[in-house]
Amino acid sequence: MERLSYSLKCVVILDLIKRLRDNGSWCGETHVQKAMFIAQDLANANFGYKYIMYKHGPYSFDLTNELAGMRAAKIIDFEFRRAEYGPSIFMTAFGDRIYSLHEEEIQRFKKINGFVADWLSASDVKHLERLATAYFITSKNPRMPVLERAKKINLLKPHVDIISAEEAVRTVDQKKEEAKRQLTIAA
Amino acid sequence: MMKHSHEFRDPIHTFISMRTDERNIVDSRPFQRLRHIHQLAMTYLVYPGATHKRFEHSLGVMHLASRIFDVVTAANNIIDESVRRIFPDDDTKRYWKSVLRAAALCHDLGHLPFSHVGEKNLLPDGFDHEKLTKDIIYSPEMEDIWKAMKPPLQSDDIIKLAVGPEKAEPLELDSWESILAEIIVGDAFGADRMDYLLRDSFHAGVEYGKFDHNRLIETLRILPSAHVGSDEPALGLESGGLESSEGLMVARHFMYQQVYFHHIRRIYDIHLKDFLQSWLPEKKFPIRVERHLKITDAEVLAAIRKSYASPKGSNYLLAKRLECREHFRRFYSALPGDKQGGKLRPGEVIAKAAEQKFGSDAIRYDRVPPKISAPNFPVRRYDGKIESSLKLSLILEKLPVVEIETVYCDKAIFDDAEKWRDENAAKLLSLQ
Repeated sequence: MERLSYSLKCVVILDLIKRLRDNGSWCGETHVQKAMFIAQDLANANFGYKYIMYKHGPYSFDLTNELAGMRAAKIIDFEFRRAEYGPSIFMTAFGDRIYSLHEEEIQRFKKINGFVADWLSASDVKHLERLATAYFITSKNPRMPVLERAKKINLLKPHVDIISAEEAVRTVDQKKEEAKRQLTIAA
Repeated sequence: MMKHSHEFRDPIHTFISMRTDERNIVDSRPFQRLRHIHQLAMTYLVYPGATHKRFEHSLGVMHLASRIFDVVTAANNIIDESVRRIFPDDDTKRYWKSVLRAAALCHDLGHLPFSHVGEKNLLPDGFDHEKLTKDIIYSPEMEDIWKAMKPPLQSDDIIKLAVGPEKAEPLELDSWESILAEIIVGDAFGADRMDYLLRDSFHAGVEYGKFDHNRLIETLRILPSAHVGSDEPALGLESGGLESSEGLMVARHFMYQQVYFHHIRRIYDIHLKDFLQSWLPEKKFPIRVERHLKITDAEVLAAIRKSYASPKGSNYLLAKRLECREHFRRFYSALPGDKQGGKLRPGEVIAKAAEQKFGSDAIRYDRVPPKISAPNFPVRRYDGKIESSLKLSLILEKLPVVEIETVYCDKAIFDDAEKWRDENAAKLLSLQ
């Protein structure tokens, strides 16, 4: 599994933020968390972000701290775009400079980030947490039947009903197949 | 007549009460060992009063966690249907309160001598104090205590709440368990954090760690995460408690700057780690429960004294640094502007170059990675609407992240190191 330097990890995150926003995503922390979870899995690279089942599905404390560090370094910042929601994340001018310095070195991840952003950008948090939780459960139990995985989601996240959970599991199965075809051909 | 309830006097919470079956936890060997583990390692070399131990902190965490549980599960504080759905029946609720109190007592059982000092380098890969905590909770001695409690407790449940979702793997927490874990170890309102800020501040003799914890506890609620567009219940608060939560976050920020990450305190951690690495057999702490229970700060302090009394011994110089305050001196501290040249870890760049110039024995590098400054949690406004804490509070939104990079050198080369820094730092960091 490939290990990435700190600068390159930052640039991969910046690329993901840029693509999510370009696709019209709200791009709050939940969006970045879930998108990075799937991107890290598809890239089979060691970003060093350990994911566990927690807030709204798979969640990485390491990534939360990484984003805090990037904000402290003024690479990213928060903005409030709508009255009812928490902050959106955007790339600052300094972040743009760091991105330009290393953009060439992350070609491999751009394709994956593009795939993830195309898939998730239109999702609101409710949809996102169902998909990401289904992805997490599926990665841990790849041979488990759809309904069993849906029940597992409902057990861990009782606010997600079994019908929505089933739908999310089927979407994940389909998208994983799609990723296999598109990203393998690209590699 | 036998007493069924017991009280401890405490300088922070006045009285801490517990049942007899809970006192069996306190009387166990793993818990009594905490009487010999300093809460703040060698901080007492900088703040002489900071000699308190993990023992009283663990009692305090149980006390606060219990109070928080009572507030957030009170029937009149559960307004939202999505929250009511995850609530267990009354018997199950009583069981979980008992688990919560036991977990709060046990959350620090796995700490090594001098708390966090050796955790990264002096344990085998994959081990940390939470893993040791889990092993102790599963140990036959503690399992006997869990079985004898009324009602009996499951060790898996205690572990989930004591170490939290990040460290409980392979155990997975559902929404209810995640909220209970957050009551103990949560970033925003965890009883662990509340107690250590108040207690450390009291013992260190600084005012920075104080905040209105009574008000904060009374306004905590379990709320839907509508602030991020989800229905998932999470720990949040009534808007009347926002100022007290700001107080907690500001207290944490100042305690980081003034106490926990004080540069001399941090270099003593490094010197102590150097000593332990040389003194410990196989350069690592033992990981088996029985051996772990036998080693405390007392054994390490005795070893330092003994090594200092033997000038020909291999650990003499390392012990002398600790015994005679011969710590290394800070000659570089990263400032926010130092990253402008594109070097995102400037301290690392300076430390590597300084090691080449002066030799690695004379240089020490310390980095405190950034931690989230203010978590985003749900707040119920006066009109019933739920909003993001970061949206409602400018203080929380603007609270700076603490990130520290420091480079130290041996006192003997301090003047040369400063001169070298002045001549080379800007160039090394691509700032010219």
